[in-house]
Amino acid sequence: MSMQMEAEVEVNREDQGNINAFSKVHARIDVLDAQYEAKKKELDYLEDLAQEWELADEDDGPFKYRIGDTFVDLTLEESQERLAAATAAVQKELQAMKAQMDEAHAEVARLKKILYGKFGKSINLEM
Amino acid sequence: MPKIEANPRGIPKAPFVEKVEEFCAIGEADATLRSFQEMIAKYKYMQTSLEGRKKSLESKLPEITKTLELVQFMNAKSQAATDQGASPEPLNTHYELSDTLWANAKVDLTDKVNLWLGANVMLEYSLEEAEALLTTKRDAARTTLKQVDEDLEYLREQITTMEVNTARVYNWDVKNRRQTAPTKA
Repeated sequence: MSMQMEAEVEVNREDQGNINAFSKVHARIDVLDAQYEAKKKELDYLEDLAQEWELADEDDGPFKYRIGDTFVDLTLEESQERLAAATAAVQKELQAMKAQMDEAHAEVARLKKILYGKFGKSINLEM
Repeated sequence: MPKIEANPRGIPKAPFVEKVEEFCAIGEADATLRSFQEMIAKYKYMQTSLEGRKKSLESKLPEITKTLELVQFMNAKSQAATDQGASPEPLNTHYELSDTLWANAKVDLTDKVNLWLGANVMLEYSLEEAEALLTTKRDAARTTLKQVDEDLEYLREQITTMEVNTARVYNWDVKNRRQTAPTKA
């Protein structure tokens, strides 16, 4: 962390709270970013699969669909239902993460404005 | 001394230094800085142990979820069959026999499954019971994970407070030395 302080401006309790919030939310963004990327990949796989699936035929079945650690024979309809449900669940999770990320970014911007406003050059918030 | 506050899991809050000159007597900066260092080390130790806990939860959670998925699937299958008054068709499955070997198995859908509870114990449950148990376990793991995340964020805040405290005491000390040095010389 490159948070450098020079003693020109006194730090009061409120400033300390803002600095803490900044470092907390900033770290949260990193975690969210990584989680989001991983989920996004999952969605990509599912969408690729859905595309392949359009070419599938009932005669190609039964389909070996992974549930837990086991592959289970499913009919075309069953497997497509499961795929659609899995895709919807991942999309919902992604949406929730996106909302959290937007919120965190807005919070970081807000805190930056306050902290730079008070401390100017004696604080460094770019990491 | 300020009263010691703590978060819900009892991690003490780092003291905020209101006014450095009141907190630390001239010439005592070194001792103060050393005690700050000690506190930071304690917080970091907690951080490392919580990160380990987080990792183990993060690996446990998918295992529970996977098992739950399969139990839910079996439950839905057997329910659907019962609703139609038929006995459920056996499941055709491929399961992992070893890392590179998969085998075929026909699994009769009974209404009982055995869950491995750990500590060399396996227990028989009805499908509904198994689903309920696994759901509870999953939710509990999620809750704990959320608490661990909260604690980690809280720890980060305390470490930041201590780092800022350190910087302020240090700067104050440097300023003092500069002021007193010429008179000593």
